[in-house]
Amino acid sequence: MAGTTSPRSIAAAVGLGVAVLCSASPSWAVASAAAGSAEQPVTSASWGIVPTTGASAPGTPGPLTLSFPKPAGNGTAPPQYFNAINNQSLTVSSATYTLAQSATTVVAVEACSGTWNEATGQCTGTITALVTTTTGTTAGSASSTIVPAASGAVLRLRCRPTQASKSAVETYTIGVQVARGAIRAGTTTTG
Amino acid sequence: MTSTAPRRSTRRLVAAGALAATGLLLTTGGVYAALNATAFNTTAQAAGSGTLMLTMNNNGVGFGTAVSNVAPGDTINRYVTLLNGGTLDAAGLTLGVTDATVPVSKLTSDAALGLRVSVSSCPTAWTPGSGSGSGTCATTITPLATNVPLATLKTTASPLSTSVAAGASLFLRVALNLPDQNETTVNGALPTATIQGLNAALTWTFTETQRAATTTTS
Repeated sequence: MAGTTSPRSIAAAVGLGVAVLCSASPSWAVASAAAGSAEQPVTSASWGIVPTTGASAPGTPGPLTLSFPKPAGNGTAPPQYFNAINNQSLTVSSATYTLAQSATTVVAVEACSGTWNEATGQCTGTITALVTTTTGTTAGSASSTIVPAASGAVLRLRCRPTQASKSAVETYTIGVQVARGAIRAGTTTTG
Repeated sequence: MTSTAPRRSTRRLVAAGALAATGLLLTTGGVYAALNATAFNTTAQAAGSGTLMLTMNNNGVGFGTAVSNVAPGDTINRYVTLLNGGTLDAAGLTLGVTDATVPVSKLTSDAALGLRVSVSSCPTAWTPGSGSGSGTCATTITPLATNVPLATLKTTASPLSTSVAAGASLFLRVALNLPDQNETTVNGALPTATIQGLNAALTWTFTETQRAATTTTS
């Protein structure tokens, strides 16, 4: 009957296929052996400093904007204190501090080599201006080696207007940039 | 007596038939008869297939310890010893790697900025040491692969050696390097497509194949 295959012909075909495979395999089969390692975790380092008014690094880092209302009597607004936190894994040797403002008031970001008395504005050591805007400008930037060096370190800074406010509320935006050159050079280690 | 002639004739006919049948049987049997002779070795011939086995052992911490906080320009040396422990010589020793991290990071997907590996051999076992610097080789160091990106190694195994004798050991230094590169982090937020703060989970695999098949006479 056309279209049907007898069991004998199926068996013959299977037998032929097996015979072909058996005779063909020696021509292409090549033994190989492999040795694999356990999974080796690798992590890359990171570097950076975040300015914040908080005691710890914010979950979403970014620039810090401080608002300075115009004081009564048209005087100079009092300084505000904030932290620069090394929120990454590597020690940092320098950073570039940036300062942008809504007005053209002269303002400075300052560090104290000792401890700030934030109530009186006094510093037990030496005060260093990290970045200052000049008269008539709205932005400034400067590089400094005064940084929160170690991973997790916190450096207390202050932002201090040095001129009388020119508007009802002046805002100052502080940023910190850390370039690759501010971290250690590559090393060769074993283990 | 007219009745005896046919009976005698019948007997003769039967006798002749029997004789003819017997003769036919005898001659037919002679056609099928055959002689056989065999020869065989009296001592069995032993035949055994060869084996191909490759094992890897850490020399020092080897691949058994994590590599952490890798900065651009860093090189981390690890030492392993391979043994071709089978009976067959091997050919085509290669090194491949897989990264189990999902999704795969730039560390193993970027051929230019991601991790890369160099492999060197020493005729004798390395003294790995620890901390800063490289381990030491008492004799001559032979580079087998130089600065191969892991992004490439994941898909194409790197050839290390064309032959490894049966029973031979290979003493290898595997140096993992992150190319030096510039990135600036602004306000503590890592840049887009950064190399910083990434993870990889590497499995290193050495593979060898059997030597070429041979036809021999002995």
